[in-house]
Amino acid sequence: MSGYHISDPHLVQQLLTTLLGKEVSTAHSEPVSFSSAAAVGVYRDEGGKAHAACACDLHFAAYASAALTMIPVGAAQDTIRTGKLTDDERANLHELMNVCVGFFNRGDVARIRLTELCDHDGLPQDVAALYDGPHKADILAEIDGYGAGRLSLRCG
Amino acid sequence: MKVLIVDDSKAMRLMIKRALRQSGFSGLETIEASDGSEGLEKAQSQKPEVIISDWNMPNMSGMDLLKALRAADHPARFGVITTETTADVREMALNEGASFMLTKPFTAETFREALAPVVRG
Repeated sequence: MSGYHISDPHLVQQLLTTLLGKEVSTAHSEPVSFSSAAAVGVYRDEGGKAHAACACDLHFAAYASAALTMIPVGAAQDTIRTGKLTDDERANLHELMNVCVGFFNRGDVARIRLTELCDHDGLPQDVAALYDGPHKADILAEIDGYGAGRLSLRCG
Repeated sequence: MKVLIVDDSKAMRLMIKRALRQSGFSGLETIEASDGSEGLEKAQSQKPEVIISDWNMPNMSGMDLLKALRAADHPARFGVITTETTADVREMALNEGASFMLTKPFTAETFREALAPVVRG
């Protein structure tokens, strides 16, 4: 047992609401496969071992990264149409994933941090293996004023 | 009052500036640095009274920045905003003379509570 685990759904919802400064509602969803994700945040310990990952679809990536710094929703919708995050959106998503380490850490038990934000086609093998890990949460997050997208959390 | 914000994330620097405004602190001049090394340079050249810094950054960490400032007798009040929640990190920062430590994500309220003792305005 690694001691790493996923926070309660309520805490996930709270963290996103606090981070984005907008009401976020969450519900269970279909998983985002790592092979089709818009981005996968990877969390490693100081020895470089991957313990957790957070994958998101393009809708979540576009809406959440825009909401983080109040980029207008129209820009996020353009991103969804084109299928590609802008540099600013990707930088915002990186910071968002950085803070989302809080999905996995609890108190003093664990110390991991975001080390990479990967594309689905550049996923290291040790990260891909996390998809079938013992702890899973698949979440639909609806961001007020923006829209809904999916997140899949995994840790082992 | 001059406040230096040190964070390698442009998004987080923006969010901290927004939180300063939303928390009701006024009349602040904010300057920014994108890592600890640039933060040290700007702390020395622009003499901010308050420094708000990330903990994990490339080139120079928040901890190393804090140590360098204390070694140089820089008088700025120093606060850390980080995703690190472990007690040892908190203890390290406070032992080195940090005035406050705030965990990301923060609300305008928690931000105001942490900064009120060190920020005038």
